[in-house]
Amino acid sequence: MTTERLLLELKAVSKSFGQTEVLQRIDLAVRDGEFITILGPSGSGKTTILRMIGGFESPSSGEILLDGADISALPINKRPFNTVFQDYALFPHMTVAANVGYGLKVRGVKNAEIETRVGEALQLVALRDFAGRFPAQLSGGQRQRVALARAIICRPRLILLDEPLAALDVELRRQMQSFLKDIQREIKTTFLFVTHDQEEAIAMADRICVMNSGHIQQLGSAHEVYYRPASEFVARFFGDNNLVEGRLGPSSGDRRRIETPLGALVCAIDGQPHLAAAPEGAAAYAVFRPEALSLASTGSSEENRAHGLVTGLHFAGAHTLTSIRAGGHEPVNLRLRLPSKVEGVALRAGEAADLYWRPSECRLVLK
Amino acid sequence: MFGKWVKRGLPVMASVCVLMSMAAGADAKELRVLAWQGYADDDWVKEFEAKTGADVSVVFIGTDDEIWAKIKGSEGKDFDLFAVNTAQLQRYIDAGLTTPIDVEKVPNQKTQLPIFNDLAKVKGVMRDGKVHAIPFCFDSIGLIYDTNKVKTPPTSMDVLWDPQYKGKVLAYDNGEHNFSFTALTLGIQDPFNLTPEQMDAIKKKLVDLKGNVLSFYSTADEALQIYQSNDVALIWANYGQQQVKAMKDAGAPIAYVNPKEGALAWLDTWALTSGVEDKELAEEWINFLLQKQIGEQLSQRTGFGNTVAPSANAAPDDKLIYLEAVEDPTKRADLWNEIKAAQ
Amino acid sequence: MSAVLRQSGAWPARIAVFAYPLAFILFPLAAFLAYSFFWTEHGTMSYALTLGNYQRFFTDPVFLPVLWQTCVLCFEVAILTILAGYPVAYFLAGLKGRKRYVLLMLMLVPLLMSYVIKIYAIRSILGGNGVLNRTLIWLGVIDDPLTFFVFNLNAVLLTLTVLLIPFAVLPIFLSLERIPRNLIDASADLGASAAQTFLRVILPLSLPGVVTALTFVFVLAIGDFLTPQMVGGQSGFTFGRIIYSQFGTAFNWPFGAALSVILAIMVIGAIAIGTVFGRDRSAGR
Repeated sequence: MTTERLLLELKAVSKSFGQTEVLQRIDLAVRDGEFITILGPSGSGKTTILRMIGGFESPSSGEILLDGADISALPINKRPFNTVFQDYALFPHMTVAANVGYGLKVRGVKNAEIETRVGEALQLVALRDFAGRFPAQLSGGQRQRVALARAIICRPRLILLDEPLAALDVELRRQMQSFLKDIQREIKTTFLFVTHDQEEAIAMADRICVMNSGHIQQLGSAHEVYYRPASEFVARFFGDNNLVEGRLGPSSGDRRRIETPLGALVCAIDGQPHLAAAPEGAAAYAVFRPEALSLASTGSSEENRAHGLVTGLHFAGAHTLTSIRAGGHEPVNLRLRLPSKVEGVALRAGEAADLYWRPSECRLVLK
Repeated sequence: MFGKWVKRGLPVMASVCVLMSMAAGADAKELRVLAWQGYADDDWVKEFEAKTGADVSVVFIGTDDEIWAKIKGSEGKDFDLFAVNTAQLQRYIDAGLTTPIDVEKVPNQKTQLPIFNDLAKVKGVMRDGKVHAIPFCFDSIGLIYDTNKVKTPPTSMDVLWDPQYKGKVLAYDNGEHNFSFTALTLGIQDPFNLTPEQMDAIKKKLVDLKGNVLSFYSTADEALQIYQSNDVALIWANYGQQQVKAMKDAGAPIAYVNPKEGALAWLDTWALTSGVEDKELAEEWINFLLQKQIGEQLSQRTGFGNTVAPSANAAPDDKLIYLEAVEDPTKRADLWNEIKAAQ
Repeated sequence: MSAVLRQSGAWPARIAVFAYPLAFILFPLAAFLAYSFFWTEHGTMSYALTLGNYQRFFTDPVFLPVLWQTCVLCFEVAILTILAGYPVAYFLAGLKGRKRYVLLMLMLVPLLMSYVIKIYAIRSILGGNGVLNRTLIWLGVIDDPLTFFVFNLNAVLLTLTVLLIPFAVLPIFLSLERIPRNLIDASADLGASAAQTFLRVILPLSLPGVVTALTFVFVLAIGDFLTPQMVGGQSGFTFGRIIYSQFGTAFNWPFGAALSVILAIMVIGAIAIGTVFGRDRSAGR
């Protein structure tokens, strides 16, 4: 359903509040029909992007293009976008039905049609029986769905979601994540979803735009961002990645060596030509995920390996995180994620361990 | 340190002196006076004391009820004489709280202005041929008019109803007085004891007056303020000469007249209590105050009319109708509300 | 032990909490109620109980019409203060930062001034040759002084309105300030114009404040006898003035007390109505 057609483009958009520059020359293209997530820690500028697209803020410089036409000067109510606000922003004095029908009402749609479409929208979010309630009579998740119904009823080109799940508890969050994803598939509308939660971004997005300090760090599919980080920030932002510092060695095809305190490691660089082009001896990190490490060799001679001592075991339910001090006189702490077993994992603290991981699961980021 | 002692000590010493003088004064002549402010000024008291060798103690009061409380409360024994208006005086006479005055002992009474010196004609001061009080000062409730707007000096309160002054009249917000003066305007002899028929007629007349009235005022100050920011020609002057003086001080081109049908007026008198100790000394006090010079000073200082020297409060042949207790104040107040509520 | 001590120590404070309203509000009100069942004859109080004062209120042709007219007048005043106060409150609520509170404070400064002085000031503005008329004449708008706002009900209306506007602005301002910014964003986001947002979101959400303001002003206006007395002239006769005259000139305290009780019931009624209509429907679960 995602096409390569561009719906919205941000071109060299900057935004300053007084002396503070919160966005610096952002370029971002949103494809028609995709679920794109803007992910970043608080203060990274992600909400500002959303507010500028919605029209609540105007860019200090740069252009915002919709179907190729600049909409920077278009007022909020003229933009074919609708927003789901962080705290839902439901009108407290209106019923659920009136809230949902609001966008049609102000456009002068006939009452009969409003009624039908409100019914459909509420059907979609499974709140048909709640039409006569007031927002204060609903639970958080229900309010969330009303806000969504209210946003989709006007059939916008783009729905902006500003950390809409932040106020919900974990279980409800999971449900709402898949619910939102399902709705998005059903109505085939472009969603731009802002969050600070990596797991949420990965679970939902077609593409993730990782932001930090007013810059886009990486834009790509969840898989790409997860397994092929473009920068140290992205590598560290997703979970418990192992980062081992070293100096770049020679490259051969899709592989490049890096000299580290663990010895020479072989890393995959496919799809990252800038890594192939980087000079030898440049400072870089070898990046590999804790779940990529295993205790047994698969026999491949290319496999990276390390030897160390188990310093700690942290039982975390489905898996157990193990800390290992590896390397010689310049020890490196590595994290290994093992599936938990009822009798415990095969390692004990203080034991020696041999670790193996495939070059395809080892990536590079420049320092 | 020393100053502090003096400050503390002085009142104590003063009190001691007073107590001693009171004890010593058992033999010396003493006069106890109950009066309104302005009726027994220090310079007069000192002069009287020097002249007679008596000690005079003056207590000032602020309301009619206070006088009653002090005189009735001691059955007249705490004071030798007191100042009271003619309307109030009647209940003191009724209660036997006064002692008739020997007019021969008050020779200055003969020199009072024509409208006061024949006590038989001053309503309320005599009872059963005896003089219970001697007039001291008064004020009339006349008419103030703007001399620029009212070219012919009015002679009667009738002018308040004159259509050419529609919306240019200031009246006073008090039913009791308004009924009395309207009664006089209608030629009713006793404005303080009205029959129901007379009340009806007056009520109608007052409703008519309302049409001419710009506003009803309550204080002299208020009347002046309204006069200054509006087109006012006539003011029914409840506060008499005090009001005139304030308006003239503010530069208003006004004059004052007592209507020919009779102006309502209050008249304060001196009366001796039933407990008077030195009757001759008390009569001498009254005689002393009825000097021309003191009368003039009184008028100058208070704006009230005195009874011995001519003042602006009343011309020699003006007809003054001294206020009396009315037949039913509540009834008048209720009717006044009805008049104000009338459309 | 210490809990017992603490509790017993709190007793005087607790008694004081109840004693003050009791002594200074309830007791005087009860005294009024009691007085309204007494009567007077020729200035003497009789403490025999009677319903005569109330009977008189309902049978005498004066009181009910005046009460009705007064209610109408005060309601008009309330409406006028809302019409004048709402834009002010809206403007203030729209300001940012410290400016709004400074301006709000400035607007409330007149409340610190003596009531009588304000009436005097307004009276000299509204007078036949007052500031307003002289300005209009000077500007050539009129040739002769206008009289329709001089010493009549219009003057009462105008004066009360001017005096009471701050009491309307404050509750409206507070209700406007409480409206979350993102509701207004949401309305615009859903396609509403500024006017639609105002009519459909801001106005309805500020209604509790408007009703509070309406009640406030109505109650303050209906209890006022000074303003009608001072600017009402011969036609500005209100219920408050009748009550005042019962205590002032007629010395008929029991009847005055009965009229006051009736006024108090009116006021309580107005507040009750205001509470019902001003309740924030959305807030309750």
